[in-house]
Amino acid sequence: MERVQAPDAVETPGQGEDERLLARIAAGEQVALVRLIDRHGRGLRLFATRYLGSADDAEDVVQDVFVTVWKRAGRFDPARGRATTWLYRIAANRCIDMRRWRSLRVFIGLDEVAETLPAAGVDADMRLAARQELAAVRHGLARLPERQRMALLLRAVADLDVPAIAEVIGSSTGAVEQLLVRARRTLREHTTDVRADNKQEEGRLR
Amino acid sequence: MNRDDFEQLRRRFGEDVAAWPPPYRQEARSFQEGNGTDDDLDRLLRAAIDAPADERALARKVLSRIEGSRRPAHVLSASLRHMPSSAVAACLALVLMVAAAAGYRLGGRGPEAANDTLLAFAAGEPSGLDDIVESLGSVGDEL
Repeated sequence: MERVQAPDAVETPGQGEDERLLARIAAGEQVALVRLIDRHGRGLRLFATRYLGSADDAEDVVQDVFVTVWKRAGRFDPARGRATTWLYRIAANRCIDMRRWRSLRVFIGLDEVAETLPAAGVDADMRLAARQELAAVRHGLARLPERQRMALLLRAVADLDVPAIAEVIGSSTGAVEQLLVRARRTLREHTTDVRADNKQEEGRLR
Repeated sequence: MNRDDFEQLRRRFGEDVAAWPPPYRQEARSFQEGNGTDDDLDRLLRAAIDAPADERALARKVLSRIEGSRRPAHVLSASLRHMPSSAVAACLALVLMVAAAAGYRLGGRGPEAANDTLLAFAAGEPSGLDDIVESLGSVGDEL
């Protein structure tokens, strides 16, 4: 996946506080940075964790994002796009860098496996019927191709619209629509398959 | 999300749900609309990947990283800023003079001394280092 260069999104209402916070951060107000972390820390962490499949890597990425925001808030131009899009674009680029770095470490033998997804959690979740669907969604999400996963997470977690997602991942709006359609279809099929398997398993146990 | 969660977030982010940050905004919408929207899969996805978050701990780590990255440069630039330019120039001149004197002293020993030292190393006898240590000590004394 290519890194993103040029932002070009339309500002929408309801995003004013983030833009004001970025202006205050650019002026050196740490209180504003803490407020921005309070607003976006969780969303960015969920996005990075599920894209990278590793909570530790995600923690590093999210810290990097806010350190970058602190250093570069002055470069944010509200006329060129929303603050949320800007934040998630930084996060997406950091995630891509982190994934490349991890692949390199695996290639040269410093890491044993490329993915550190919590596979054990899926099995544990499967024990309870109420959690089966959620576990199936997590499992299905982890198996999606990278770009589909990123597009879906940006839609579901960051609440970005299609043009903003296109801006973040450096693609056209048409391509993003395709990615979302394919990702949702694959995820639905996967959850349906898992549900069917579970019903068969329950029937066999009875 | 339940009623208590919603009220807590309302106090945290204000009355206008549209101005809430993601993913709280979508969760609040789902809560208000009774989960009957077209975005059921997205809602399911958010529920599936939900995890507890400690924004305060995150803020502490970020601020400590910012302070940490700032400190070395800050200390150096602050000390240089408070010194008169003549003192800075004198310090730099002194460092250059010490480096030049040490180089001259070691170079003045001639290639034979270096060869002897290397031979001593190759033979596993670090005694050849004594000459170098002595000469460095004498340079320090002279300065």
